[in-house]
Amino acid sequence: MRRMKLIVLLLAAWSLALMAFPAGAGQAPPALSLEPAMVKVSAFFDGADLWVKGKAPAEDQVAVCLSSEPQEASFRIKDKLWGIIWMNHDTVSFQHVPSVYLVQGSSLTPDDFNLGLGYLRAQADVEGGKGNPEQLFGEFVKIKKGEGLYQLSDGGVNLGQPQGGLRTFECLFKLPARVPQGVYQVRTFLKEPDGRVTPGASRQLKVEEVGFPALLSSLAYNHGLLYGILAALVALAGGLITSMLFKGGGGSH
Amino acid sequence: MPWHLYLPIAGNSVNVLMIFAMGGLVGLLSGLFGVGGGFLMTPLLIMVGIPPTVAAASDSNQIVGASTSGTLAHYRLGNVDFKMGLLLLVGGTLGGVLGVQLIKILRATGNADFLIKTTYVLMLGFVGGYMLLETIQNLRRDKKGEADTAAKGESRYAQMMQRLPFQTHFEKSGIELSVLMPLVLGAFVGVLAAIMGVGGGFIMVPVMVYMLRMPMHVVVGTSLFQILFTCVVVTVMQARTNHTVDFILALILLIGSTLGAQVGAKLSRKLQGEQLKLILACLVLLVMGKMLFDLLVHPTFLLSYIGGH
Repeated sequence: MRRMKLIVLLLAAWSLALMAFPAGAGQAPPALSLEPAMVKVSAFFDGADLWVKGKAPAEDQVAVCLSSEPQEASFRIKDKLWGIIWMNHDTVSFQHVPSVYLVQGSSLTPDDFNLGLGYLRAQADVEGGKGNPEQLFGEFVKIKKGEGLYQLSDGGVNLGQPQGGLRTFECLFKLPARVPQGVYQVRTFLKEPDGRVTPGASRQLKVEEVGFPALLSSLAYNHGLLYGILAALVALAGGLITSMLFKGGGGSH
Repeated sequence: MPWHLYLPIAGNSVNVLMIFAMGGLVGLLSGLFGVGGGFLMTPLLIMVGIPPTVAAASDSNQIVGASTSGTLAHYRLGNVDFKMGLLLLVGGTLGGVLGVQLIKILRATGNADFLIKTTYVLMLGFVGGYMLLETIQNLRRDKKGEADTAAKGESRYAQMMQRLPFQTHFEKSGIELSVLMPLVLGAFVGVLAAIMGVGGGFIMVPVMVYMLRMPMHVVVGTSLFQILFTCVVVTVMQARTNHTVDFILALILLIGSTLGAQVGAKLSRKLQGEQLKLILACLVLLVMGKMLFDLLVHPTFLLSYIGGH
């Protein structure tokens, strides 16, 4: 009994200590806020505007990076056969590449924060594919940029007026409609006057289907057969109804 | 934007009006010519940002609705030869199974893509070219008022068809044929359709016109009847194994295409068979031209996703 009490007391003291001294005790990282805090993919979703706001040391430059977990991405490669026709005839896979990668900086380029394409290339492995890996990686980035899933821009982060050694910053990310569901990392990076880049505050962003799209996805992926039969039946019924409507309208010979 | 809808399986949003218009256009062609329109719709959907596998599967779902509407419209006009349709269907199914196996073997040897593309271009070119030439000849002959009958080679083909066993009368089409003909030709189209991953309407229609010698109006109704069955099976299979049927997308296309199909069926009564063939021939050649262009010109993107995203 007495031992139990002791354990409870110790636990209480420990949690109090945790509250009093947050992680990274001493210098708490400046807070970061996301608007909206979560991206809901509803029936009328057509991409989303995400505002990232925070505070940083007044003399630092700021970059904000929104990215997904690095993963593998596989592609077919088109090549010229016999010097005439373009044909898929090889495959390549890129290891450790994020499916979404959006970076903005305050007056400095992503490369200045070591967040540019060079950084992504250094992280990635190119496997398979007979061609030049650098060229293949370039083609990969071209596809991603075309889809709006990779966006790297020099500007975009607006800095406020310095106040007490800090200043506010904010930037707007345009998430495209095809942004995959999942958990994203929104990280900030600070470039100090001496050129040193240090990581700043970070937060997670969840992109999740809600409502009708969520319902439909779960049916399609978990009960594929039922979903298929229902889809075919509704289409059949649709055809029947239109056909009947037209018959009622006259004009059939 | 109020006119946007999010498609959960395609994982992208689309403009409802644009998809509706695309459905209407392809439905019109479907009702007019008895083709499913997959060879047109799938590239259009890819253009507006739908992944290719989802585009093809959702299109089959949509064709179920359009061909139901089209089949019924043609049935009322007395244009569906059920007996012929069922025989072609049996042949087509056997051919389809054979074609899928063939593709599996070819994929293993790494030659599938080349075969698919070349089959596509050659078939479209051959079918479109033949129809165009034949129709132009017929139209000229009509103008001159010459009453000359078919060429010698064709009559030999007719003689050969008459010698085959199991001759039956097809009432709706008004022809006498061996049961073997629709079975074998159906299987032939089935193999090609499976290789190319399409419904095969644009090959089936010329086969019915030129090899089975059915009247054009009955061809359209019968083809639609057959496509309806094929696409029900494809929709359910795709949904079960690949999860690539986007129901929302199919539904928007469907509303457009069923309306289009009704208009097409009515319009096809107003046009002459030769005119219909001429327009279809031009359309088929146009699609072939686009495919050939894509094969020869440096592509914008050298890479393409494998499977989904």
